[in-house]
Amino acid sequence: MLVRVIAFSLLLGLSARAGTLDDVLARGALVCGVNTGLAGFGLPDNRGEWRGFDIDYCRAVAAAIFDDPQKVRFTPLSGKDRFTALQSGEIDLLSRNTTWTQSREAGQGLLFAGVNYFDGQAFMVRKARNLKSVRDLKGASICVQQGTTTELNLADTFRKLGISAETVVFTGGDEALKAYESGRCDAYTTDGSALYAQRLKLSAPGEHEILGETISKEPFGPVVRQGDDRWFNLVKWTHFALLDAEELGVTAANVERLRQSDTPEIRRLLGADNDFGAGLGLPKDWVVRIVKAVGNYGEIFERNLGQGSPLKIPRGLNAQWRDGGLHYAPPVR
Amino acid sequence: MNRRIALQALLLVIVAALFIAAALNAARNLEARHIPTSFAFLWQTAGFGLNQSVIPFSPLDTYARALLVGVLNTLIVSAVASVLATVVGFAVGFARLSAHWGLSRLAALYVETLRNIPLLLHLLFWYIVLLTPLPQPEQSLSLGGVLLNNRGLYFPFPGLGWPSFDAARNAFNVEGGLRLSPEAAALIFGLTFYTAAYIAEILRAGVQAVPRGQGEAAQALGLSPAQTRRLVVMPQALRVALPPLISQYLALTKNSSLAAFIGFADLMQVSGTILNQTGAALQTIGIDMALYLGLSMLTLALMRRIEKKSDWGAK
Ligand SMILES: N[C@@H](CCC(=O)N[C@@H](CS)C(=O)NCC(=O)O)C(=O)O
Repeated sequence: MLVRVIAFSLLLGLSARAGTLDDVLARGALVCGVNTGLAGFGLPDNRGEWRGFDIDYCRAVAAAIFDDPQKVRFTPLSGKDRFTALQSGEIDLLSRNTTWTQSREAGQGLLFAGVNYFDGQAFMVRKARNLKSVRDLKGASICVQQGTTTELNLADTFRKLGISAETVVFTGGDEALKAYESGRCDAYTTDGSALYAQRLKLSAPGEHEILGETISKEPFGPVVRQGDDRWFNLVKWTHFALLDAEELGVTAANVERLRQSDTPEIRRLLGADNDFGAGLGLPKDWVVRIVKAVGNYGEIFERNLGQGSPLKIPRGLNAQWRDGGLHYAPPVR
Repeated sequence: MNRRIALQALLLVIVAALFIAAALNAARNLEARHIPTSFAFLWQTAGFGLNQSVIPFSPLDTYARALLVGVLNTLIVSAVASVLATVVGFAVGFARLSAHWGLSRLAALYVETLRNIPLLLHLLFWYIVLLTPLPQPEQSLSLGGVLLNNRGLYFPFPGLGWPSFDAARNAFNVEGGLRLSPEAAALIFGLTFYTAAYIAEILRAGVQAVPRGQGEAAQALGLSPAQTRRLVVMPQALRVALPPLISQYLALTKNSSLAAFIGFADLMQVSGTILNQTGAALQTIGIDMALYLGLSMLTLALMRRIEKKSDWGAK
C-alpha cells in the first residue's frame, strides 16, 4: 500500500522530462527495477550480490555508460508495483522477467526495448495426479501471482476451455508456491522459465511435474518510459549488441583481442574504426565495455539459466536464428 | 467570528484550488504519456473469477462489481475480526489485571510477544498453521453435513445445498454449500490475535485510570467486588478506553489490506488485479483510497452511535 501511495504521489508530480541518460550520468549510477527474488533472473546471492539474467542486462547498460558494471542500484519490485515504479521515474529501467504486451506498452506509456527471452506460461502439478493437459484441471484450485500476465492468461484459458477452476491469487510468487506445496492448490502456474526456478525450491522437486502444454506467448524484455528516444535506443542497442556479439563469436574472454580482428562486422561492433556509439550518447568502445563486463547473450544465458546454472534450461526458442531459435538482431552498421 | 469563518472559507478555497491544480497537472502529464485517466473501465467485463464472495459473482460481471465484492470481503473480515479481537483483548486485559500472578504474567507475555511480531508474520503463520494439518478434499473431515479440508470449511446452506465431494463431478474440490476459505480464516485469526494484544493494553490502561478511591468507596457503601467492577469501575474505564479502542478498529480495517499476501480477495487484492488488467493505476489507487476512507468514516460513525447509546461516553 505504502509503495503505491508513494508512487501515486510521484505520478501526481511527474513532469514529462527527457534526458534519462543525463540523470543517470549525474547520479553516477543506473537505477534498475528487478525481481524481488527469482533464481536465474534476479536474486541476491549469499553475499548480497545480485545475480541473474535480468541483473546482467542492468549491468550491461551500466557498463556501456560507465565502463563499470557495478554502477547499478537495484530496486526489487513485485509484479504489481513494477510499472508504477517505472512510470513515476523511481527507476530508469525495468529488467524483471516482464512480458511485452500491447496494453503495457500503448496503454501505460512504456516501451519494450526488444525481446531477450521467449517464454510461455505453463503449469506445475503433482505427478501422482497423473494429469495430461490443462483441460484435466477442471474444478481444480490453482495458485497464481498477482499483477502478472499469468493471472490474466489463466482466466482467459479457462474461459476458452469452458471449464471453471478456483484461482487463489497471491502478492508474491513464493507465497503462491508455498500454498501449492502445502496442498492448498492442485496446480501452480507461471512462466515456464520461472517454474524451472521455483520447482527447485520445493522440498521434493521430483514429486512435481511441469505439464508440456503452454497456454500463452511470454516474450520478456527490458522496459523504459515513453518520451525519451535516446534512452530507449541505448537500452535497445545494448540488447542487440549482446546478440550480435554472440553471433560473431565475441566473448568476454576474447573481446580485447578481437579489437584487432580483420572481420569488418567485428571491427564495426567493437568500434575499431568508426564510431557507432556517438548516436547513442556512448563512446566508441561501448560494445567492448559491455562484453568485457557481462559476456555476450549466450554467455549471460548459459551462466544464469542454461547449463552453467542449476536450472539447466535449454536454449530452445532462445537460440540464435541460425541455430533454429528466434533471436535475430539487426546489425551494427 | 465572521472573520474566522471568512478565513476558514479562504483556506478551504486555497486547498481546493491546490487539489484541482494537482489533478489537472497530473491529468496533463498522464495524457502526455498516454496513460488513460478515465473511469469507463469500471463497466467493462472483469473476466476473472473470485474465490470468496458473499454476492453472486462470475467472470462475466463488471470490474465495478468485482470491486464491490472486494469491499464487502474487507468489510466482513474487518467486522468479524473487530468483534473477536475485542473479546480476546478484554479476556487478556482482565487476565493481565488479575491478582493471580501466573495468569497476569501469561497475559503480559501474550501482549509483549504478539505486539512485537509484524502483522504480516501473524498472517503467514496462521495460514500455514491452518493449511498444514488439514486433509485434502478427498479425505474431508465431516461432521453433521459440515465438511472440513485444506480448501476450507463447508456448511450446508439454503440455496447452495449440501457440500459433498464426488470425484466423478469434481476430482479436486468439494462442491456445494457455503465456504469459509482458509485465507479468510487465517486473515481473521491473524488480525484478531494481533489486535487483541493492543486492546488488552487499552483495557488495562482504562481500568487503571479509574482512581483507586472509587472502588474503595463503592465497597465501603456495601457493593460486592463484582458489583463494584460492573457498576463503578468499568463504565469509567470504558469511557477512557473508547477513543483508543476506536483507533484500533480503524487500524484493523486498514491492516486487513495485507490480505493479498495470503491469497484473500479483499479490496486491495481485487483492485490489484483490476490495475493489472486495465493499467488504470491512478484510478484504482484513487478508488482504493476513497473506499478505505469511507470504511473508516463508517466505523467512526458506528462507534459514535455506540458511544451515544451507552452511557460510557457520558460526561
Ligand atoms: N512474465 C509475467 C510474469 C512475471 C512474474 O512476476 N513472474 C513471477 C514468477 S514466480 C515472479 O517473478 N515472481 C517473483 C516475485 O514477484 O517475487 C509478466 O510479465 O507479467
